[in-house]
Amino acid sequence: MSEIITIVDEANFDEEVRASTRPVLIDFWAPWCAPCRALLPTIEALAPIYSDDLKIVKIDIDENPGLKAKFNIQSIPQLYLTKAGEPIARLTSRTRTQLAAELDDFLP
Amino acid sequence: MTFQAFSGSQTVKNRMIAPVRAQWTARALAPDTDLNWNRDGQPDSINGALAQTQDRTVFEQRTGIPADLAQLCEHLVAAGVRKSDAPDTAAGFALEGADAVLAFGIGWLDAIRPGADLGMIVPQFARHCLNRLLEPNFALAGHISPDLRGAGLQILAFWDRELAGHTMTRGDWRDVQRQAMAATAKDTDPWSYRIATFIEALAWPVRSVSREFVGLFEPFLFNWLIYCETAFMTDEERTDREHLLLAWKAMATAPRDEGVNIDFDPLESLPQSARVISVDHVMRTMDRMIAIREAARPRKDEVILDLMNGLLTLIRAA
Repeated sequence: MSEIITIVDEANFDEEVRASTRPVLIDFWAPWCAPCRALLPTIEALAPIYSDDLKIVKIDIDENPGLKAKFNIQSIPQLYLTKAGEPIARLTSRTRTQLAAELDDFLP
Repeated sequence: MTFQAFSGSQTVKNRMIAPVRAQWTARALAPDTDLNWNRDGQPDSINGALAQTQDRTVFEQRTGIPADLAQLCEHLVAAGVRKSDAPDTAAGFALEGADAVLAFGIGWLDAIRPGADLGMIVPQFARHCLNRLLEPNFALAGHISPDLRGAGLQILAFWDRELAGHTMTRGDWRDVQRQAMAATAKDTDPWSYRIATFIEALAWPVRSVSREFVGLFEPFLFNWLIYCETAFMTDEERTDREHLLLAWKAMATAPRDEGVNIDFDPLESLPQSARVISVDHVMRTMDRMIAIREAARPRKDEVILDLMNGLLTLIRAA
């Protein structure tokens, strides 16, 4: 199911996030981060539910320090909902049910 | 996605399990929910050794077994054994647990019919667990509010309709999700926080919960197992345990900034919880808590073995 989550880096950020016609949910993570790995199944489960309204991407903060700085990421996992590459909300829920409720407040 | 366990071959099954059985019998593997294989400074897990990989996709390709199921089975073993450092042994650690719990480490693999499609076992087990926790004789039944029970029963009813071939709409699920979140939000029982979170997180089509299930099940089972200890506590210790649970909930639910910092003390309004979570209290009661844990071990094993037997029944039927 991971293929429905796009891997974004500094090279393709403009194309995949800034130019996206849909809002983009960014999952900031790193391979060594156990809570990030624990959250991944939840993000993967959300992806097909919102495939028409939302694009979901993940960014490895270790490999993309510029994006880590741009979003002022101080801890991970962090979930940001963005539009045209700019953050519109930081999502703090960690279960699929609560994340879906948070997303429903922002999406049409 | 369909699975074909051990590529449908008894020979493949025997070839894959034999070395793991030898290592497990020698207690050279450390049960873990993660697929551990050749990780720096970490012993191999049973499933890591079975497929010789840390990667879920590779695991499924090599074994024909859903990684979610493998991780669930190994989590049950991990929950029932105690691992301690043993520098004098070849493995560097020692495992201790009831024979029946340890036997499940390989027993669930032995129970698999080569060629079986085990893709629905975790969803079926999720239904088994939800049904179990909603039964009137469930150990923690007295701590489940009527609203939460109502949400759980609604989820169970939707799952049964789904498993019978009906499709529930997103709107149907939204209603039960709201019901579950509302029940969780107004729940104040110290013992029900993890149960409420479990029920709330399961409010989705049953076929879709497989990947998330182990992560949701872990805290639920932990809660259930530590509840077993209360039978061996004094009234004062039971009350302190409830204060501890409230402390954990307050810490877990406190709003945090981007740096995961909490800008206030979530225990400020919970002085008893602050007391029981203090280092002083933990150190002072440590010996007594160890004794309680040991006394409760047979009850915990009973819970774990019941869950293991539920899984074995589903695996054998596949």
